[in-house]
Order: sequence, then structure tokens, then C-alpha cells
Amino acid sequence: MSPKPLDDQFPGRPLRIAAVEGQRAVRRRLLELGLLPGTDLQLIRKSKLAGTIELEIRCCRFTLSLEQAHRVLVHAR
Amino acid sequence: MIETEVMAGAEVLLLGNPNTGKTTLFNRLTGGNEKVGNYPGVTVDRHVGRLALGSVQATLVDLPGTYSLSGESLDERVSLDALAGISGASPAGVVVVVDANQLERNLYLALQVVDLGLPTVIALNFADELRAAAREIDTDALARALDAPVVSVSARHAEGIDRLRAVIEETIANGRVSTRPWTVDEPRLEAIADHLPAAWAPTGARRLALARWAALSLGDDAFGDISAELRAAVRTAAIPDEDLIVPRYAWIERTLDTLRARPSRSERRRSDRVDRLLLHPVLGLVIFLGLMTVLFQALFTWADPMIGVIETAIAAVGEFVARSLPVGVVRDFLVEGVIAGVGAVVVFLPQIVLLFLALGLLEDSGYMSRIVALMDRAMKSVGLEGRAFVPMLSGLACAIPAIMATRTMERHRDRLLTMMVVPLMTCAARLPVYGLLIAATIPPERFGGFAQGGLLVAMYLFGIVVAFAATFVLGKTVLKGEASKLVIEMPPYRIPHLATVVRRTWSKCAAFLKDAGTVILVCTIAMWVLLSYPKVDPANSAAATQADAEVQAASLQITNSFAGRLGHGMEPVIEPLGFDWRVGIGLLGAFAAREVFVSTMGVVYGIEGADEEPEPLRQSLARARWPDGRPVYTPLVCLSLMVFFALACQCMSTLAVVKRETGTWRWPAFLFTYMTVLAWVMSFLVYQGGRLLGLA
Repeated sequence: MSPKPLDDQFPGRPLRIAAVEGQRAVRRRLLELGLLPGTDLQLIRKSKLAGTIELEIRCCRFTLSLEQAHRVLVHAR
Repeated sequence: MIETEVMAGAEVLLLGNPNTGKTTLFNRLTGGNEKVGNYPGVTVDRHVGRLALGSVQATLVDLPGTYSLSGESLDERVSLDALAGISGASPAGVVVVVDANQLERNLYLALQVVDLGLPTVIALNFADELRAAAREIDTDALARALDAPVVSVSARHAEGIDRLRAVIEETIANGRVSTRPWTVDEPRLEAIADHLPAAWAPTGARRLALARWAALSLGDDAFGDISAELRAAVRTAAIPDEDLIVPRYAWIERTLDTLRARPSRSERRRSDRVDRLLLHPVLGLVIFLGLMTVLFQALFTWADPMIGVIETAIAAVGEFVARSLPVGVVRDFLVEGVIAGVGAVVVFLPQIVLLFLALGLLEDSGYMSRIVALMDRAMKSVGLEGRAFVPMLSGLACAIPAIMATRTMERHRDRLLTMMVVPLMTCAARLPVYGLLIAATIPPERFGGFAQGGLLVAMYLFGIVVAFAATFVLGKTVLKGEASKLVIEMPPYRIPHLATVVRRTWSKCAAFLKDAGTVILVCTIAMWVLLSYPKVDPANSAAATQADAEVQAASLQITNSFAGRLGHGMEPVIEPLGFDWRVGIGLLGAFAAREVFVSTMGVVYGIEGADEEPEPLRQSLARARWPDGRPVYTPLVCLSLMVFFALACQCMSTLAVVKRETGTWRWPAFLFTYMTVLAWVMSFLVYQGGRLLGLA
């Protein structure tokens, strides 16, 4: 199964990070926050209106814009 | 200005991720006494407090909350410089605050600090929450793994603070450094380490730690102090970021797995319930708008009684001094210069206090993160991040606290951009000016009942639209850059620790009084000189009564003062906008504060107490004529003048605060110039365009 962008996913599904792409500054920040390939991730909520996605990783919650989430590739666990 | 000189002894740094209760712990350790300053050359607050450690007196420096030491942002760079002693002496020790609930991510920063080879103590905060969740962390085992002492504390409940003090004292006394093997063993770092500047003292453990920092941070940064040699070495080594990050997390995962301290999911059922309400697509928005209305109302209305008390007190002091001193320059200087100047400074305190209390509560409760997430898209559409929303909203009350609030933003560019546009929002001080002008030139009997109110609303909307347009344009030109693609942490909701919020608010006020206050005071005195000198002899007056004579003398005085002459001299410049020299004097007077326009015009037209009883002034304005007999204040001139007030930077306090927040006069100069030019051009277009259309 090939990895899919995080913004295509729906809340509640257990996911695992396959790759993090994008500009260096953003990508580095995400990696340093622990969004590393192979890490488990849960999608908490997705808001089309606010254009954001909230996720949990390593017991921490983060909100990303949908564009940023598009560059985080995941597969189902 | 840094005030470490007064507090002798060893310097201990306090560091931690955002939302780890770091500020509360800082207050616990220092007993609340702190001084705020700036790091040299950058606009990052530097909080310093006294740290009593039994035998030694030390100082505790609160570093900005960061997730990492690497990266291109100012906060992180400031932290690295302080830790590595790049811009000063090396610290005697470091306390890293970590959130016991989120140990996995928090340890990433702790490892970076331990790697620097500094005596380090780990404070494991939220011990109370851990207990409530029936979880346990073996601090001894964690300390063995890190080879650094770990102390379990609850800053909020003042738990474990004494033990933390004792451990800090012991650690800095024996200067014990962790000998834990490096988590990142990367041979390519050697080539970078060889090119580190000698001034960074790259020896021992810190040699590779600094090389690791350089490899992870340089490339897309804007740091001005990095040698081309080091940059070249980093480029050549070309170590992918993940090669430096993955091994650290691998070490953390392994270590926490052995400690059985790596839960798979967070325990935040209560917080989740609150989020279901506050982030609800409909209800959440309603609550958000409600809260923002309350905040705005507080700044706009609730601050008023306090401002009134301050104004009355200042007036009473002025009167007392005026009565106890003989008539003369000294008395005028004290009353109209110094005391009025102090008044002009402290009058901002109510709004600053209210805004920073609100900001502290929003930030500490965790709701601020939700606001940022909610507003991110809207703010990004004009090129700013979500955090700019609160300062922009506050700007509708007063630009001074709003500009101070930009500190909560992470990126320098976003801070500057917000500061440059907040003064365009219609602040409360513009209201009396609009009120006077609308009442004087737009009588309801001629323009209909809703004309006055409608025009006022239009002026508010005009300010907001121009502010957003300016954000968009400046963000594409002078402050080029993308809206920061922030990753916003969503901490669990917590009850704010009130004492911490109050203390931070107080230190903000103190910093304002010290830095911006002095500039405002000096400007007020300068304005007083401009408006009252040179003195005119009021002897030959034909007024019927003593009171009339005084009022006429004041009018004569102001029109012959430096400002009056300047107003006359300005007439050719402002005549194309429809303003005469009297308006010129009013504009100069309004530079002290916009609402002063009303009382200055009162003095110019020889009317007493114009700001309390505006009716006579309105009539004078309506009667005012150009030498050729045309009325000065037509509805078109009123509109032109309001547009000028909406856009011009008629506020020296704003400039003083921008100077404090940016640390240079360059940005206030830019702000003043662009706003004044914009105001002139727009007023010109309104007035001349209106005339072309046949409006009077």
C-alpha cells in the first residue's frame, strides 16, 4: 500500500508516518517535534472551515494547516 | 537594557518547551522578584531573577520557551547563545523544565542541552498531574540514563521546589557534567567542527554539540554573525536533517521503553471534552466571538474608569504644584511638561494591564493555541499568522498595548509586520476627533438621521480595510516573506496560575514605564516647549472680563508659538487637503495624542474647556472662514481630515513603543513616514476628487 497524504485521512484511524516532505524549515520543525518516519500518529480532528488538522504524536497534540498536512505522508496501521 | 550587574553570583539558565509551566517554576525559584530587559540587539524579553541557594546567591535567567536549540528563529538562537556563552559568559548551570506528561518530546531539548557539556538539572514538572493519572516515572533511572540529576516537581503546587534548589546548588557547586555517550554519533560532523569560530571555544563536548547545531540550523537562516567558512563546511558536509534528529528520538524511545514511561496515547479526557465544545464548528465560533467581544469591551470600556482616576489624580497633582509654586518657567515646566508627561505615560497602564492579564489567562489556559488555530487561515490570507489576531483586535482600543502584545509571535518578520499595521486600526483616541468633526460639519437636519452614525461606522471599516491592505502590501515588499507555517501545539486545558499571570503583567508594565515611558515623557516635554514658546506678552488685550482675557491670551500664545508658526508654515503643504493653518496647529498638537486635537483646536479658537463641552467649539468650526470668505470646515474637508486622522501616525507614544519593541529608531521612522505619506495622498485624493465631483 503506497503512502497517502495526511490531509486525505479521517479522524480516528490509527496511522503511521511514512515520510515528511516540504521546505526545510517546516520539515525540520516537524521532525524535531517527533514526526519521524515510522512513528505512530492519530488524527484527532480535521476542520475544512479553519483549514487545519489536529494530530497526536508521542502524547503531544499539534495543529497543522491542511497544506502542511498534505506533505506528511502516512499509511494505515 | 540588562540589569544583571546588580545581581552578583553564578548565572543559572532556565529552559524548556512552551507550555511546561516554566514561568511558574521561575517565579517559585526566584520568589517573584524579576527584572525584564532585552537580549542585546534582539527583541526577545530577558527575565532575570534572584535565585537563593542556601550558601550561594545566584541569578536565574528565564530563556524563551523553545522546542529545540536549532532552527532559524530568534528565540532559539538567543537560547543557544546564552547556553553556549557565545554572547557572554558561560552559565554556571542549566535547569531544563520538562513536562512529565510529554516526556518523549520534551527530552529532545534536554538532550541538546546535556550534549553541550553544561552542569544540567532536569526538573520534571506536573508531578501532580502524573499522580492524578496514576502514572509514575522512575526519576532515578532517568537520571542514570541521562547522567544528570532529575527532580520531580509541581511548580503550581510549590512541590519539590526546595529539593530542586538543593540539587541545583550541588550541581553548580561541583560543576558536574554528564558523561553520557552522545546520542548522535555522526562522523561527518568532524569536518564542520574543524571550522567553528575560535570565539565559540569549541573544545571538549561542546565542539561536536556546536557542530551539530550548525549542521541543523545553517543554510536557510538569516544570522549575520556566521563565517562564510563555517557555512561552506556545513554545505559541503550536507548532512540530512533526519540523520541528526532520528538518533536522538531513537535514544529517547529506547530509554523510556526500559523505564516503561512511554504511554501510547495521551490521557486528556477532560481536556478533550472541553475541546469538543470550544472547537465545535458552530458553538466554538460563537464562544470565540463572545470571548473576543468581552476582551474588546474590557479594553475599550472597562479601562475607562481607571483612566479617569489616573487623569484626575495627575490633574490634582498638577494643580497642587501649580498652587504651591510661583508663576514662572519652572512652574510651567513642572506642571505642563513633567507632570503632564508622566500622565501621558501612566494613562496607558490600565489598557496594558487588562490586555496582558487577558493574554496571560488565554495563554496559560491553553485557549490561545485554539484561537491561533481558528484564525490561522483568515490571517494567512493577508500574509500573517494566526497569532496576529489578538494584537490586531486590541489595536481597535489602543495601539500601545497591541504593539506590546506582538511579542507573543514567534517570528521577527511577523512581529514587525503586525507592529507596522496595528496603528491603522481605529483606536479609541480617534473617536473624540471623529465625533467633533462629524458633529461640526454633518448636521443631521441636512444629511439625515443616520449620516453621523453611518459615517463613524464607515471610518472604522475604513481603518480595518486599510490595515489589512497594508499588511498584504508590506508583507510582499518591505517585510517580504511568507506567513510562517507554524505548527501549533495544542496543550491540554489547565486552570491558569493567577500569581504567575499577575507577575508577568506587572513586569510588562515595568518594562513599558522604563523604556517607552521615558521616551514619551521627553516627547511630551518637547511638545510643551513647541506649543508654549516663545512667550507672547498678553498685555494689550481688549477682552471684557478677566476669564476672556486669559482664553484670548492662550489663543494668541499658541498661534505665536513654535508649533503655531510651524502650523502657518505648513499651510502650503496641507492646503491641497483642504486644511488651513489652524488645522495645522491642531495636527501638531495631536502628535502628543490624537484626542489632544480637540483641546488644541479649542485653545486655537479661544474656547475654554473644549474637550468637556464641545458645542461652542463645534460652532466656531462651523463659522471658521478662509480669508476669501469660503467656510473652512465643509463636509468634504471633514471627510478629508478624518481620512488623515485614520491613516497618519499622529501618536508619539506608538512610535516610542515601536522603538522599545524593535530596539531601533529605524522602524518607528519607517512607520511614521509611510503612514504620513499614505494619509496625505489619501486625503488629497478625497479632497481634490471631491472637488472635481463638485462637492464642497
